[in-house]
Amino acid sequence: MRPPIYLDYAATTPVDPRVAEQMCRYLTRDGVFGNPSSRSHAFGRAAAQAVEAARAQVAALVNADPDEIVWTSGATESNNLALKGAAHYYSKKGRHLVTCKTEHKAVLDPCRQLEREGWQVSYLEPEPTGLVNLDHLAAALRPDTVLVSIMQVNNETGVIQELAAIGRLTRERGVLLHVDAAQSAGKVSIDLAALPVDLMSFSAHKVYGPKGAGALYVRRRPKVRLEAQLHGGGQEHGLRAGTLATHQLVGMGAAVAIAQAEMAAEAARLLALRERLWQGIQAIEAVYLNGDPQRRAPGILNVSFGGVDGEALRAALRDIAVSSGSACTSAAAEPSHVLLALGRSKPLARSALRFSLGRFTTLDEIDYTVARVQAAVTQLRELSPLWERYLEGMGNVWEQ
Amino acid sequence: MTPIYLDCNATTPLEPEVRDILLRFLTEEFGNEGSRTHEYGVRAKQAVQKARDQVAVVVAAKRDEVIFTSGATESNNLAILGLRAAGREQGRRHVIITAIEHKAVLEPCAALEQEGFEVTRLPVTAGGFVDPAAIRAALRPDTLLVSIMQVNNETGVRQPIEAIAEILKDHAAYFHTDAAQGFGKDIETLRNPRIDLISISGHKIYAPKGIGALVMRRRGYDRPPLRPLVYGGGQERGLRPGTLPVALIVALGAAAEIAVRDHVKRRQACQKIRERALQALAPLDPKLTGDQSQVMDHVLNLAFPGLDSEALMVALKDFIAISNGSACTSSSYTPSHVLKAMGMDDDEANACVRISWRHLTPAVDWDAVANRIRTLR
Repeated sequence: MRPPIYLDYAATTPVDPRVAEQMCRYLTRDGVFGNPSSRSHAFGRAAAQAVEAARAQVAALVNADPDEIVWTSGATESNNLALKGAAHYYSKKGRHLVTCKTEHKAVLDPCRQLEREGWQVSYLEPEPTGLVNLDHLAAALRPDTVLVSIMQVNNETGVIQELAAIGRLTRERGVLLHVDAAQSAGKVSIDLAALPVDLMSFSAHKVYGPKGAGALYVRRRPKVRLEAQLHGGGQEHGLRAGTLATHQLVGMGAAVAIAQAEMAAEAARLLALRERLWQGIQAIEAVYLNGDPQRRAPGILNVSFGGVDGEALRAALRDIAVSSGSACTSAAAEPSHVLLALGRSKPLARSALRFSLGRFTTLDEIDYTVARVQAAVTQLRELSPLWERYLEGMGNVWEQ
Repeated sequence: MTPIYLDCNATTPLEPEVRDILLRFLTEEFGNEGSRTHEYGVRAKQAVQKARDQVAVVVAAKRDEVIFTSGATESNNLAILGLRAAGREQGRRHVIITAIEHKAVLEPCAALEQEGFEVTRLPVTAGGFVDPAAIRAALRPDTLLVSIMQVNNETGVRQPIEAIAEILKDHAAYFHTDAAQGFGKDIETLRNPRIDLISISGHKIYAPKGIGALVMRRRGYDRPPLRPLVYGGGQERGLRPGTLPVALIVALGAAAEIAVRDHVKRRQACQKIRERALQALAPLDPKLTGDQSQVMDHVLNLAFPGLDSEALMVALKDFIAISNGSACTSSSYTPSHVLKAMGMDDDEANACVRISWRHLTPAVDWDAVANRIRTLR
């Protein structure tokens, strides 16, 4: 049996063979395997050089200074370091944070923890498009607000927030802005010299780099300070202790360099594929596109199907690897908190499929997927009591 | 001329057998183990569970007692700072460590101290190990945690873990050991059921950097009451969220299994290297650091009277790559806190170099090394 068609690139991506080849040079005895902190011999110094070259690659992706990049084990750790690190460091200024209900758990859960520690957090309701309402944001800012955290691209819907406008607002009010860029870095262009963003989280494994590597951008001018979350060893200027994993960081650097070089062409290719997928699915009756029709990252399509149970639909599409939402919460049977926040009903949120396309997605795969989805939805609706009531003229019964 | 790498306590190259496994899970078996809706995720999950078993079996633990982390530093932080909340709630705010712990234990303990905990830092003997009787004397009813490293990273001296476990038999304190330097090398010690928490590093046992584990042994049905340091996503029972780095985990599992399989062979190979080194260097009258009966087979910490470690490392740089202490502190010029704790003065400590090798270390021309040292005198 051939493996399922992989359309879950937003959950994770394979390491690009070009990246894997680079990584292999930093592992074994014939490669650069030293500890980058070993200053007493050439093995260590060569590893340190490789780590710094990779840091420069990540900095170049977002037009930042290499000194502004702190390595972490991934975007979850980056988000925790940004949120808890800033909240603790600036606790004398105030204990209030603002975020949005559609953020990833790696932002929402640290916020919950800070609430347990005595902070207050305002959770903004997004517009039905998924976009943050700037007036609501402005109204939520208080004199004791320390930080606003808004993701750039939503992992479930692909919706792109208006960072420039959000940043102007936070900068005006002297509030830090953190951005979870796990889904956007390497896919949409980011210029941190122009964007008023203070902290930004990156993940390697969403852009064909290895799992277990990430980074946090920490602005130097004006300087943002953080309280370290891991202690011991002094690496990363004391902000993040632990032996630097040379091959992982080299992998992340190589991955973002490729993503940057190929970004424009790849975005156009993915957009065309995604449009073709959407055209095919749109031909089915009673389907709902989740998220803003325009402001979306090119690789993501999130669709709800009226009168269809999502679980049954995914089971019927076993030869296509798609998800109902975030991998981090896919164990839970709960409907997506993101889609509910966009105002979708529980039945529609439960019926959603997230298709996420990537570097190795082909036209044939898309056409096959369209045919399979059309057939599966038709078949499932034949057995659906909701669909029967719809056909009886009772309207869009799944919207309640 | 490329020197021979003799700094295996700082990091080790990847085990050749592990490389192919790592590569396969990077590019082919690339699923997110959190993805429950398709085969890619299911396969990743299975691979992670197998690796969990492979790590658990080394220390006679159960699969669900293994939490994967980014390395021993994170494991140490999680073990120590993770107990903070329980200590506060139970009014147990006393911690016992030794003066020779790694920074990744010393610094989280210093963080606890700033928050009102009391930390007892026990001295060590001239032999480089803590006296178990000192631990007995330091124990208090409110002692929350005893954290003693299994093997010191600078001297290679084994700490009396079994004797400490015996002393702690009737005490409620959690017993943590930083096993970064001993996991998979000094195997029997870590199987002691009294050890509650074990920090493991991948890159010290020929697995990749960036992966480690914390073993949390249950007492009966009770898990050590750790709270997470990182939040979001729910992975590792919520104790260590974040997408699991499947390739790194699988590589650690494989390296752990090989470590047990090849244990005796590796020790013998390391002993031979040690004998040859000592034979060649003996005429130079080196001063060996630490109680040699307790030193691991792959480590030699020594000084040549009258020679400074910096001068020695520079003079030998074409022959062998060695260090004068922990890589984590090798950028600072302060004398080693470990050696000072063993009673050395600054000059004595600054004279010491650490030589550490592995079973696959190629033959070193020890006579050439000895001759080079002779010319320095």
